[in-house]
Amino acid sequence: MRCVVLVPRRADHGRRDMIWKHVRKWLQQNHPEWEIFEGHDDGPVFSLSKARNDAARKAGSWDVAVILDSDTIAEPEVLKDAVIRASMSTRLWIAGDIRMCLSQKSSDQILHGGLWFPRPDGHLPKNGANESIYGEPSSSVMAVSRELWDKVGGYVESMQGYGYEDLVFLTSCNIFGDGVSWIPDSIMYHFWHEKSRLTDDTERNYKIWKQLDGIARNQNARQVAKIYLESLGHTVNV
Amino acid sequence: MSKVAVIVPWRPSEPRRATLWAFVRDWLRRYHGAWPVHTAPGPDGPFNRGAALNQAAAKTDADILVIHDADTICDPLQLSRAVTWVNNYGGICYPYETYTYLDQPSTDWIRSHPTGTWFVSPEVHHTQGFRTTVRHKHVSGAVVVSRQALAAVGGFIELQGWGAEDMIMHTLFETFVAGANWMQGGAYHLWHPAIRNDPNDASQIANHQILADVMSLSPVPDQLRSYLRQGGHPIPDER
Repeated sequence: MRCVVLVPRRADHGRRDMIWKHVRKWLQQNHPEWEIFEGHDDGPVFSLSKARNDAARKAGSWDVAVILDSDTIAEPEVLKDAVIRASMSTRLWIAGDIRMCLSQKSSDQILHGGLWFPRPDGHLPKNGANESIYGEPSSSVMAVSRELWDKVGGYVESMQGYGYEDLVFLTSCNIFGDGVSWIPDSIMYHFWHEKSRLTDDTERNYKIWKQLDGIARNQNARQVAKIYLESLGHTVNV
Repeated sequence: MSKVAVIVPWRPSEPRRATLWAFVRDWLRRYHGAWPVHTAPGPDGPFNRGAALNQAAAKTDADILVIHDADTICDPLQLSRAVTWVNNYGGICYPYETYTYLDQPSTDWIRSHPTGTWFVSPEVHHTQGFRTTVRHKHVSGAVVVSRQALAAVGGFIELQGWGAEDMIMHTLFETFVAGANWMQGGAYHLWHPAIRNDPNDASQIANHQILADVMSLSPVPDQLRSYLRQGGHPIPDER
């Protein structure tokens, strides 16, 4: 089985590059048998969809791909488990059921080789709860079989910028594949960096996802979703 | 640097807690070996955390006290920084901003891998998500206080049983010792079966009434002082 790691990337010559350097090293240490492919998009607004598809194309022939954000890590044994599970069906497996966006300080401590003492970033001052940790994330680190990738046609490239392209991908996996699962009792860590600014693209992407999410509830979801996605210039193979 | 000691309210109970305390004690030795650790069980009867801490504090003449629960670990760097902060400025300092109640598998992972990579998760309460298990500016688990600050609030308040004493102490420090400081770090509560206080228990109702009274009187320190004196917890007069 050939497993590859697909990473959407755009250099910022700053913190994100530094994080990716560490994440890449982490991958090479923990998963030396998996080749890493960076995907790029040179458009005026970075498209995560295009970059992920670009990485998948560059990887050539593969059986399972780990779709990984360049600022996120998953527990190595859990990720291996996700890859094995993904290879056995057209189910998307996410390598953890919890995502924690680390604080800058605990990110730095881990990245600089200090003691791991992860804690989430930010908080809601009103009730003391924290919004940087949540269950069933829609991206970060996940494993997909080639069969499922081909069925859903990869990511929808007409979705510009970032935001909701991951949910459209998940929803497509639900409609055209066996669904989406999270490896239980596992956490993924997102290393802190300045947030990207939301643009009008995010709002447009949200509408696309809501539309597809509504279609997913139809009895003839596959047919309707296929037509809808084709109207966006995206081809599925079912 | 002033003399530092760790004080731990600790009474042997069920085996899991004893195992956790053994781990925490080793952790403290590993990262803060220069600080002696003093435990005390408190009086017989329901566990009285305040009395246990007063007993433990009496065992040492240290100028800086690290009040540390037997089921908590802090980022060692932040705990050291909190001690330095109290050494420099007095008062009280929590060695964390985020206090996380870990789940059982994460706790067990940390116990078996005290150094290394930790992929650890908070407990999830299904009705509230992480709201109750990832707490911002929590006031329990560990705190560093100067002996002077502790004296200024009359020592630890001794209630019947436990519960509410942490928030009462925090309010007293806020009122009589010019506030608290928090380090930008994390601390973990290590999982053990929870002992829930019965909210209908008379002592629990009384303790929470004291907390409510203390909080409502805190804007008027003289009234709060008078209230506490009547309740058997005298606070020294301001000089």
